[in-house]
Amino acid sequence: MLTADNLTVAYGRKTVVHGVSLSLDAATGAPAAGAQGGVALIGESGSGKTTIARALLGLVKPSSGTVRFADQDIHRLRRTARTDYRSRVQPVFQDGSEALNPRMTVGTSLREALRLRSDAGPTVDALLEAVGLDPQLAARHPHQLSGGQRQRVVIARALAVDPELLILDEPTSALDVTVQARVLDLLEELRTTAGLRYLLITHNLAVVPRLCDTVHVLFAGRVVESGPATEVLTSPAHPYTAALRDAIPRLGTPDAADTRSSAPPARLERSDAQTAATGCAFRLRCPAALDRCTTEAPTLRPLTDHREVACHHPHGPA
Amino acid sequence: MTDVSPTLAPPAPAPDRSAPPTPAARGGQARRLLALARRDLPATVGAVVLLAIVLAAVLAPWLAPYPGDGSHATHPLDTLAGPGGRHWFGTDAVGRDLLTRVMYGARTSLTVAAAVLTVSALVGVPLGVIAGYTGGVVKDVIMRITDVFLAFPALLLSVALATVLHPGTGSAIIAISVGWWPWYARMACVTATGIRSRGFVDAARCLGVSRIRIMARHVLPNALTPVLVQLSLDAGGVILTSAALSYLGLGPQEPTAEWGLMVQQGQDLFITDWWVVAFPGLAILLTAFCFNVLGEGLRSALDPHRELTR
Amino acid sequence: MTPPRSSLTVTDLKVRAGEGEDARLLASLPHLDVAAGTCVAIVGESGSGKSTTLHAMLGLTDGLAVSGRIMVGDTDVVTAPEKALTTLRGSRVALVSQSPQSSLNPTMRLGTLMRRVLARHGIRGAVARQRADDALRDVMLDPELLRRYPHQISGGQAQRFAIALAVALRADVVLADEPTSALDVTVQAAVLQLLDRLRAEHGIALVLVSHDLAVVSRIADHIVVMRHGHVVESGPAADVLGAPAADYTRELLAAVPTLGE
Repeated sequence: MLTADNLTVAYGRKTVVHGVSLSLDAATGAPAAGAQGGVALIGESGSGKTTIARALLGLVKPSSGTVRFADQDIHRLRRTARTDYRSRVQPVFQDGSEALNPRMTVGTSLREALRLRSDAGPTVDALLEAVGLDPQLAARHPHQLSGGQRQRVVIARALAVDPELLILDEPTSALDVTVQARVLDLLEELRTTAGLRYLLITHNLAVVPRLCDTVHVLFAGRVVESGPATEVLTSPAHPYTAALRDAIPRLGTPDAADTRSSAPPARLERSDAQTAATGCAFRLRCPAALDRCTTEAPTLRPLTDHREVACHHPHGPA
Repeated sequence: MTDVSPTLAPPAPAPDRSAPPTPAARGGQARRLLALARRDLPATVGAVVLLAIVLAAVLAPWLAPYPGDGSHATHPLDTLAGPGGRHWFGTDAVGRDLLTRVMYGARTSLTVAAAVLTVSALVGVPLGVIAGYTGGVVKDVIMRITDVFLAFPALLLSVALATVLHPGTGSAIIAISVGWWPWYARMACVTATGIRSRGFVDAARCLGVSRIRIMARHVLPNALTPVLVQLSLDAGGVILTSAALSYLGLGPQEPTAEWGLMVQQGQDLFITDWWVVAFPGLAILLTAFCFNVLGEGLRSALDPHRELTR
Repeated sequence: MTPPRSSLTVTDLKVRAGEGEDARLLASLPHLDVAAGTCVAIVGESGSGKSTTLHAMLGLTDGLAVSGRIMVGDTDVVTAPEKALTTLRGSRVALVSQSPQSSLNPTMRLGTLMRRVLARHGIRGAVARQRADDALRDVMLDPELLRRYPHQISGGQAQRFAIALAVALRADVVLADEPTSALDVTVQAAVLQLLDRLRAEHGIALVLVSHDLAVVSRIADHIVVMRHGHVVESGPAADVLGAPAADYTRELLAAVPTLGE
């Protein structure tokens, strides 16, 4: 069980994550039938989602709040306990060309990870096959691979230490759609074959339902909405979630699209930040901001049994 | 915990069909080198001339017309002969063949350059990588120490040190190295600081790879490109500095052939017997220039941003 | 509106790398006609030749062998001398790249940049100021942004600025190379909407290159699907999306992630 409790992270004087709490089950048996067991963190650049991932991985220290794994604060672990944590929670970062050492062959990268296991573990060939790659690629350098192949290597490296939980930070957004679909297939399959749980971090809502059943929507470092994925995505309560959902590129012909050339007059894009310093941070972009939104910051409160939202005027659940 | 791969079901996922770049064909390396050479003519010419200089230095005992003149031999009857058929570069005040002396001088200069740069890189780069990767107090301490060295003009520092030491090739190497390594420490520190935030370093940290290994296997190899360029750019500078030390009488001593020393000894004769100064002087200039051109060429060839910065 | 005139016509385009026997075909496009005020999308994965095709339209194919004809107005980009191409780029044909921020000179304020670009095409003084202002308003950017440096603006703003440059120069043809794939989804939607509006209002011939059919589906009139350098399918957007003829097009359509509505 990985939990973040009231997590706050600041870089210098700038606080980028404000009191975020979330929890993830890791390896408590297979998820219930039909459930994915995954949790998604959704937000755009600047929402603090990557910082949360880094705090969960122990790469940045929170300025307050805690990250606990198996009831231990991961930022205060002793050496052996830290090694244990490292082998149970692994990241998959966005860009395979960045996440792999350009001077190492694929095989060397994987062997480096395998060496950290206490037991013998699988071979490099087996790892590559597990992610659907030809073992001959072990001799290649990252720049000799395609984007999809690189991302598979990154996943293989994470699997090398036999983790329970993968933290996926935009795992497919640097890839072509077709490649993206195949990498998602792979992740779906590994969930059962390798017994993995996922924390998925993305700005694209469309990839969420395949891997996750719980979502947290982040805006400006705060959770603005959370709940079961299907409910939140089909009937968003927070206007920001609705905006994210509506922005997903959908298939449709120009003639069918009523938006064409009759788009509402967008507001002049202001040069200042799109987040408000007082009141609700989203109010500058909100289509239905009230007077109350300028003065009082909404807090996360229950909407239904499973859902929470931080908004003064949420859309009611359908 | 489920074991990962050996027990996995046979791999079902569709093979990744997105086309990988075709691996370079056989002979591709040679062709790429040739293409590179064609694109940067000055650097290529510099490299060729340097190769000739190195060969001349290494093969001096066999190539030089009067190998004995490289050290002790003197020819009292043949002093200050002008350039001509027997002595292409002429002879010096004690009758030694200047072509031979210049070739032997190349040995001294190149040895000093190689030794200084090796010492500087071996000391500076690891310190810089440690500072840059570790950050915090360690970085502050290491960088303040280098700042102390950098506060003095490198030449002055070398001159002061050489004065204290017994003049000779060895002391010249030590004297110059002391002023030189901090540059490498600083450069490696900056590069390592950048690499520290790269994704593959984060990934290694998350896997639990040890600090030392991260520095040795991930940071250092990726920090070497700028070092390589700097080594080439600096070689000329070291040769100039060593010539300056010898010129001041603080470097190698007679009868060792050294370009700076030769210039110093010949300067009084410049008006009447110009060749005594001109050829060693030109040798210094040419070598330093070629290293510089080569360095610039390497810099632009290895710089990943060159397309953008233009 | 005036009857649509062809702003860009491509005939028998072939782009090859290498010479003689070794030559590798990077992209081939038998025919393409982009009328003023319409949008043509070229869709394919990396390595499909879509970007190469786009670069050929700008005459930016150093070291590659290009054959065929690419007519912009009455200039053939394939045979035109470099000097003519320099005038063409910007004044008639503008490129909006994936990450405009990296192609903006980091040491120049946006205003200076805009002024220089306009001046290079002979637009100076009050006219230039007026054009710059109008263009910024057109792309919904606050003119205050002109005082900033490229690193002080967001990716979406940089993309809008790149489009504003094209508008200020009155480009007939705008070539957009994955203009939104580096952007957040909400910003992406807004930039696409903007391109679509300018196409209609200014009669711009828009060529949009993307790997994602969903991204282009709403604004393209005509879709060209490319794979391994060849055109797999080409036709009106409604046909390609509604009744795809090629298996590969169906594969691309299936790959589009949806919320499962």
